[in-house]
Amino acid sequence: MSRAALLLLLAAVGCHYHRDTNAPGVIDPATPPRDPTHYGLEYPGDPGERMVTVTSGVLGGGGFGGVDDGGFGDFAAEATVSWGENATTHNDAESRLFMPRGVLLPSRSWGVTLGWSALRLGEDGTGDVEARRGPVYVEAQRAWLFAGVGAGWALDPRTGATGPQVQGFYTFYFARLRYLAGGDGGWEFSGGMQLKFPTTWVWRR
Amino acid sequence: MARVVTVVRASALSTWAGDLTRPAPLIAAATLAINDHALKGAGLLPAAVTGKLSDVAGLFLAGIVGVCLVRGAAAAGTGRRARRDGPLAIVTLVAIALAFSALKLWPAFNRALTATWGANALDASDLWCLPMLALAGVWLRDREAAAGPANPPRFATALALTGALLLCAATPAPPPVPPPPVAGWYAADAALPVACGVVQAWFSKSGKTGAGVTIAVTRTGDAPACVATITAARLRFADGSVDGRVVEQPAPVGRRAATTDPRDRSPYDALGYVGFTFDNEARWNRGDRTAVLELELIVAGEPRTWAVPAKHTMLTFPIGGDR
Repeated sequence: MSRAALLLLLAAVGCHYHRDTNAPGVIDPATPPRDPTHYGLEYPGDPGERMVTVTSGVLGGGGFGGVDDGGFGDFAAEATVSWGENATTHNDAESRLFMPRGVLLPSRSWGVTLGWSALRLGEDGTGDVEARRGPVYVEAQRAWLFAGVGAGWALDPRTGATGPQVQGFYTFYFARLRYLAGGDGGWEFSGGMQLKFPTTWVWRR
Repeated sequence: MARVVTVVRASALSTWAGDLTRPAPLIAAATLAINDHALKGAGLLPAAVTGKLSDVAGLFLAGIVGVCLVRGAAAAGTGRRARRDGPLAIVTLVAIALAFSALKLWPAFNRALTATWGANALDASDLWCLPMLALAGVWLRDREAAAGPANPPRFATALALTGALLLCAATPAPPPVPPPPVAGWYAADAALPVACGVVQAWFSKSGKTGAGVTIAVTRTGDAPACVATITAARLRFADGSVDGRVVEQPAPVGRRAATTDPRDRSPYDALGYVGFTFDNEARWNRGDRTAVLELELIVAGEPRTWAVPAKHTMLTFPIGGDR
């Protein structure tokens, strides 16, 4: 059952789905059409669109600080649920060469991100590489198409260290600053690449 | 051995625009010209490719042309030669990037420029082509490092500059893309035969705040006149009806009037319009998507009642067409 659900989720990644809520456009019914002789409906004004997007994927990179002053590798998984708007309704018939046709992102959005630095590779003090689990975090996110910023709270379940973090991203790149108090905490800075794909449900405003 | 030193004025055309005679901008210009005026719409390449190819070649060329023009203006103003990779050039490239971004992201700016310059798609994915401006910057930097005192002939420079400016400005209209489907009221081929001709009715407007119906009268060939008056109009739903407001009574539109422009000729003898103001969006959202359009008319002195079934559905454009 859970495997089927996972397969369904993966199949939906990078797609968008249209809902017909609020589908009528913007008109003034008291005014005749611009071309009164045109047989057919005059295309109405564009109200724009709203969307809910679930963006999920993995992040990989490295950083320094905290217990790993010598640097660490960091691999995380993230999921973001965001609510956004576009002033103009997207058109599936238009060409978008460098973006998969199914991918639809809001030009402005607010969201919540849940993430987990699932694999942290650092030095164990004897020169060997130690693999361990890193912090989980939750962030509020503000995004503009391919770019965004987030701020939230992180907790390392292994050490109990907790504290704020901020993150910024642009397309495939991200940078994150985090301060964890207690345990093996302290300041840490990391950055790298992210591969996150959106699944979007879109309807008109 | 005597050295011959050629002193070239900074404001000389070949000094600031000579770069345009180099192979890279010439290839970009040729690519832009072939793509815009031969490949687009020819079906040889996918529209997605031809759409982006113009942006790729155009941004590279626009970056070089922009820096050339700014260097020319600076030379004319100060008498000194500005560097191709100096602050002035960087500001120019950034300004082009900002203008291109605004064109692709800002609907009001896009509309204004489209109205004056020509159609340009409001497509955020075109911003992936912006690195071509950085490439133009790198090319200009390399030119600055490699440029010798020799300048190309003035005629070749003038020709290259004119061609580049024309190509940058003469953007062709992209092939039409149908707009997204939209919800609208629809009554299939509603026609009422009357003694003097035919009355037709169609939904000409449909949106969140209501709908509008156009009523057209076409007289038969030998009828002297076919006058229609709308006395009442209603949209009857399952839970009640909405009265229409007659905005324009069917008025003669001069189908047979002498005119030289065929676009001015209407296929109808008289046209009128009725507006229905109601919360159409709420009806749509709760699935209330059928109605009957009831029209009470007086045609050629004879009262007629006409009921036309209508449905509210997602419509793909273009629909109908001029008749």
